[in-house]
Amino acid sequence: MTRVTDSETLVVRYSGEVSLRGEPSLEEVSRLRGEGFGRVGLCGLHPLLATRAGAESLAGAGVTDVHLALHGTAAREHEYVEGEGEGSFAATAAAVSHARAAGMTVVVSSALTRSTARSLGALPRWLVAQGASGWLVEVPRVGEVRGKGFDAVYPRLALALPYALHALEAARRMALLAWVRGAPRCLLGPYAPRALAEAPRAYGFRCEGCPTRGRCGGVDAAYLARFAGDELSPGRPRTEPDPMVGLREAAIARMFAVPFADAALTEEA
Amino acid sequence: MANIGYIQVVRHCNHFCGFCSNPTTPYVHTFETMKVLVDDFVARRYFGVILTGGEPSLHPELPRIARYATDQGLHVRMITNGWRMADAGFAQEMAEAGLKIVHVSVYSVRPAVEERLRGTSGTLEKAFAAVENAHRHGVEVNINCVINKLNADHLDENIRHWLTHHPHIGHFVWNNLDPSMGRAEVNQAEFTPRLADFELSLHRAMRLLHQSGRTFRVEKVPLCYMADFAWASTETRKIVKGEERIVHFLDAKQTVRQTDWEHRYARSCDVCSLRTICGGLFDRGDAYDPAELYPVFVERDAIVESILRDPRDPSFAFRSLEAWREDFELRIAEARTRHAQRGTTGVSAAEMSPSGAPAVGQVTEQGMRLFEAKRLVEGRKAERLGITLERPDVALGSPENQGQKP
Repeated sequence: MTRVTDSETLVVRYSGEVSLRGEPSLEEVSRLRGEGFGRVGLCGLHPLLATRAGAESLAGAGVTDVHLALHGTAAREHEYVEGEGEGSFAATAAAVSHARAAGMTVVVSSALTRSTARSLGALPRWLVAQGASGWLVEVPRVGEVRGKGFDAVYPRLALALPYALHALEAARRMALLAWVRGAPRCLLGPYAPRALAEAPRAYGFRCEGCPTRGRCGGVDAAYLARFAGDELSPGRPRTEPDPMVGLREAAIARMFAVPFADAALTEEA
Repeated sequence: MANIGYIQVVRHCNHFCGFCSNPTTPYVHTFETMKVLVDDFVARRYFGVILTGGEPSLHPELPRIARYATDQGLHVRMITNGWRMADAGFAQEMAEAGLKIVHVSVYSVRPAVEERLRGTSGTLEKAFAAVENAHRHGVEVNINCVINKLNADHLDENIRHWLTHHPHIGHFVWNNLDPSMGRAEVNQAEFTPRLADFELSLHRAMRLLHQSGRTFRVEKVPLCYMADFAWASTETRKIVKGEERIVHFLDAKQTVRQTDWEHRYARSCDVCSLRTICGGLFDRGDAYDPAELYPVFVERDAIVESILRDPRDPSFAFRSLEAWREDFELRIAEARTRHAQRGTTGVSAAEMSPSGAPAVGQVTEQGMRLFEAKRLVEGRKAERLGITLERPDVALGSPENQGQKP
């Protein structure tokens, strides 16, 4: 990830693709397209997405896809997690709608927190209705849980992940491409192939000798220190199917290169 | 609604739990002083009475008061450590006195943990024997368990033991530790858990029971830590059903009537969809951390309906959700008015002491002597176990201890 200006972060995801975080201008987008990037993505709620005309101007400048954060299907839930105050849900919903209407591909990330876990299952239906192309359920990293404190936000994984898996299954049934990130593979059961790769973190005493360790990101060290990792269990050696079954699926998955959980969870408790 | 009241029959005990919230006092009961309290419940049209303590089975007239309460039409239960019920003859005597349900209190099926918590050895075997004796004589057995720091990580292990070795037990009660009274108050650091300490093992335990068709209740645990089992929260059920609870404390508090089931909330609770039916964080004793609370966004009325339609709850006649909502809104409005009038001072002693309540027990010269002797013995036990003995002013009555919730 390379910061290119004060207002944006550039991520080269794959050959010819770029993601921009922040509020890049239309000129900057055009410049990147002119430099040969075939796809230009926006990470976050760009102000121009507030209107259909704005979204169309972004598309016209060369934005091809949009990555947004949405943490629930109700305003108070999303806004509590996002910490952005009243109107954030409506703005995000409008952005999804305008981006889709302007022909852009939309993917959405949702944080798996104590507060969102039990209601994640409602999101796939909403996302499908809005025309989203992909969905990521993301366990926030402890270092990213700012303000509210670990106890009230970071979920006990063995309790929260079953709800997330239920939501992934709901997404699968609706043909919505969906993944999970930030969870140890041993707690994902048959959904382990839906885990997106991530950098290794910490591992519990039970992870010694786990055959999936090489592909597992483990858990945050702070989580391990708090709960000792007693819910982790070594997996059985097995061949997991390749989660990326097609070019389109792989392309959608690449849009989740930028984590969103750190953009959430900022409100004071 | 069907209310169940409590009578503390005695306040002494043959165990010495480091977190006992109702330790020894100089107050004692005779049959006559207990009879008055039973009559009080009958006059209030209570559904039943729970005989508790201290260890109630140490009162020589326990079977007689149980018989009397039964004859008055009350549903009679007892909370016990099981020491005396381990004697088959006593179990039979209580069964014949009309005892319907015995709540045997066991904190951990790990012998070393149980011994540490009870300050006494050999209690598990007695409790297991009590469970079987009661069952043999037709008394329904429930298991009570105080959640604390030492058993917080294996509540599910306890349940697996009960399901395997005593499968006739159909109902379980967890009480999160009350850190506000007795030895619990002065030993908070050793015994009071954080909510996150037990949430996983409690969830596994509840799931085991639910899957096996058993029932359970959980007290002093906010709904954000109850996952899918919010309907099992004692406070939530009381709030939904508009129930009250009277405890006749055998100490200076005397009679306490609890109608308000709300404790403490965090600012984030304001957006929680379950706020109106949640008891919040137990506030007495100031030992639990509001920073552990978080809002959830699930459907409140689904939980309400599961309580209203519970076919195994004999205490509440089903009514429609619409009728409930109408009644509940009125009750919420009344509660808000009360809270606004009360401000930040909390529930007053007068508010929790019903007018015209009979005197609870008496302090006799003999009771005082026994109390002093017991304090000496318990002081030595406390020293040996490395725990702090409760403040004596609680037993003897100081104004600051009036009006505490049970």
